[in-house]
Amino acid sequence: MNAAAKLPRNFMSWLRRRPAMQGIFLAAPTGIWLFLFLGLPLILVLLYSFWIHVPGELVERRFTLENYERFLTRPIYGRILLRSFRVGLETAILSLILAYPTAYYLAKRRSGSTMLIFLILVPFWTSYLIRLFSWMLILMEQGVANGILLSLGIISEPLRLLFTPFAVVIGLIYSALPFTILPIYAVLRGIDPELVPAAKMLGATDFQSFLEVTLPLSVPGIMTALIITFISGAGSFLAPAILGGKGADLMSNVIVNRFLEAFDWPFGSALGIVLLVTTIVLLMIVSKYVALDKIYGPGK
Amino acid sequence: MIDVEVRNATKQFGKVLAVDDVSFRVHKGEFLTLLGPSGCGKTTTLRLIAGLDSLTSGEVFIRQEDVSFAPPYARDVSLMFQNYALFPHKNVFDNIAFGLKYRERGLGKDERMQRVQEALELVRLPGIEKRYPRQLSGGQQQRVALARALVIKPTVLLLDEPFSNLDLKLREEMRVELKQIQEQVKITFIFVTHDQEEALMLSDRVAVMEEGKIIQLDTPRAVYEQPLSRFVAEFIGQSNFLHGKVIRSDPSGAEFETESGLILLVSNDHRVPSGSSGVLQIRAERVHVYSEKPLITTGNTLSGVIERAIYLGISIQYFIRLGSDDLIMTIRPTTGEVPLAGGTDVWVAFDPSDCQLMRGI
Repeated sequence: MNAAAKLPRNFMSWLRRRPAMQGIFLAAPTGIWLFLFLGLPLILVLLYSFWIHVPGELVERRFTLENYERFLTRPIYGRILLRSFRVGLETAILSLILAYPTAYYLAKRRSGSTMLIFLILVPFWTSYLIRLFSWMLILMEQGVANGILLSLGIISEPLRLLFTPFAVVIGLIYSALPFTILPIYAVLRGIDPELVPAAKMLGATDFQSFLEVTLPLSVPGIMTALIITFISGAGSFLAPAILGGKGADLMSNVIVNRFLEAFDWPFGSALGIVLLVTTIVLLMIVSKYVALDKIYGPGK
Repeated sequence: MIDVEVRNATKQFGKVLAVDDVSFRVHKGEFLTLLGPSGCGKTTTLRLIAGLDSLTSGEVFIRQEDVSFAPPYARDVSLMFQNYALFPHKNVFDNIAFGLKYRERGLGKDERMQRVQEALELVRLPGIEKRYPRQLSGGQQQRVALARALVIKPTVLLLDEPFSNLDLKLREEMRVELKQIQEQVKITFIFVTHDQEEALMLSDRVAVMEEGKIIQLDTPRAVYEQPLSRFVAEFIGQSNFLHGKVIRSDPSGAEFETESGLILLVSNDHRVPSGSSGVLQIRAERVHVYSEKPLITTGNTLSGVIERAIYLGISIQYFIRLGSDDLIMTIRPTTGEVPLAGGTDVWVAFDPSDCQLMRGI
C-alpha cells in the first residue's frame, strides 16, 4: 500500500477513537464560515453601536450610549420597530392561513406530491427583485389587478394598491408562502396515518378528529413556518423599498438609510442591534410557551 | 343473537379486488378470527365493518341495523389498531377518555374518571393515567390501546393484528390475557391475524381467508381436522400432501393410489370421486414411526427409510422415503431415547380417519 492511500486511513482510525473530534470535524466548515462572515461582523456592529458618529468622518472610537438614547427618546423609531413587527406578524398569519390547506392537501394525497412541490418552488428560479417588480406591474394604477376589477365592474375607478403597506404584505406573503407550506407539509406527512381513523373510531367526526389530532400534532410545523415568515417579514428590506410608499418603511429600510445616506454608522448599528435583540426576545417568549414537551409530554 | 352480519361485502381498490363477496355472521359474545396471509383481505374486511373503508358493494349490519353507509363514529364498534395508534400528544387518561368524551357526552367528570380507572384495572395497568405514550413500553402501550377501545363498551371490538409488534414471550402472555378479558367483558370480538396458533387458541370460530374470499369458516378443531382445501391445510399446521388417484370409493371408505404406486386407505371421505386424481393430506404429527414392524397393522402401515432427522428440542422431525418416490414428514415428541438416525429402515403407520382427500391442484 502506498503512503498516499495510507494517510487518510490513519486519519480515519485516529478520528474513530475520538468521538468528540468527529463532531468538531463535521461542524468545522460551517462553524468557521459563520464565525468569519456572521460572528465577526456582528461583533463589529455591536462595537460601532457604542461609538460616536462624527459628521464628515465615520466614527470616533469612544464609548457612548447616545445612539441607544436616541432610539429611546425619538418615538418615530419605536413606531417603525412596532410597524416592522406588525408587518412580520401579518405576513406570518396570512401566510399560515393560505399555506395550511395547501400543505394539508399535499400531505393527504396518496401519491404524486413531488411534482406539485416542485411547482411551488419554481418561482425561486428567478430573482426576488424581478418577482417584486412584477408585483409592481400587477398592483400599479393601470396594472393587471385594477384592470380586472374595472372590467368586471367591481370598482369604477382604479384603486391605489401600489406603494401601500398592503402591497408590502402581499409581496412578503408571496415570497414567504413556500417556506410556510413546506415545514407544515413535512410535519403533516410525519403524523401516524392511523391516528385520525383512531379518533373517528372513538366517536369523533372528521372535523373533531382534525381539531383533536391533526392540528395539535402539526403545531411544530406551524411554529417553524410562523417564525421563518415573521423574521423574514419583520426584517424585510426589498419589499417595503419597492412596493411600499413613503410611510411603509420598516426597520431594515431605516437602517440601510442610516448607513448609506446619512453615513451614521453608529446609529445604524444601534438600530440593527435593537431589531436583533427584540426579535430574539420575542422568539424566546414564544418558544417558552410553545415548547415541544408541552405537545408530547415530558421525555422518558 | 347476531351482533355483526356481513353480506356479500366487496371492496375494490383500483383494479385490485381486496375483498371479494364475503359473507358471515358473528354471534353475540363470540370470538371470531379472520386468519390468512398478508394481502388476503382480512384487514380490509375489518375496516369495512369499522367503516374506515367504504364498501364497493354489499352490506354490513350491526345488531340488525344496516350501517353500510354509516361513518365510523356512528357505528357501535371499536377498533384496536396494529400499531396501537395512541395519541402521542395526550396522556394515558386523555387517550382512554377520548372515546367517552365523544361517544358518551352525558357522562360526568367523576363517572368518566371512574370508567377510565376501571378500564386500566381491566388491563392491569392502574395508576399510569398521567404518563404519555412515549414513556410506556410496547406491552404497556398495547394494554392502554385495549383499554381505550374497551372503555366505550362497544357492541363489537375489532382487533387488527394487535400482537404482531410484541416479542414472542410477551405475545404469549397477552394472548392468555386477551382471552380472559374477553370472557370478562363478554363483548363480541373480531380478531385479525396471520398467526395460526393465535387463531386456534383464542377463537370460537376461525374464518380462513385467501385472495379476498373466505375459504373456510368453522371451529378451530374443524378447520384443523377437516380443512376444506389444500390452502387451509397448508396454512394451519404441518401436513403431508401425497399426489395420486382415487381407485375405489364406497360407503366403507376410499382407496388412494399414490404416483409411486402405494395404496393408502381413507375413511369416510368422498369429496373426490373414484377414478379422479387428487391429493391425500395427512398431518405430520399423525404419522407414527416404528423401528420394527408393528404387531397390529390395520390401516396404513408402510415401510420406509429415514432420509433426514431434524432435532428441534421439544420434538423431532423425520423425512421418510416410502416406496420409490413418496416422501412423508412426521413430527414426533422427543423422549429420553436416542432419536433414529438418517438411513435407518423404519415402519410408518397412520390411521385412515386422519387422511383427507382433496381435489388435485
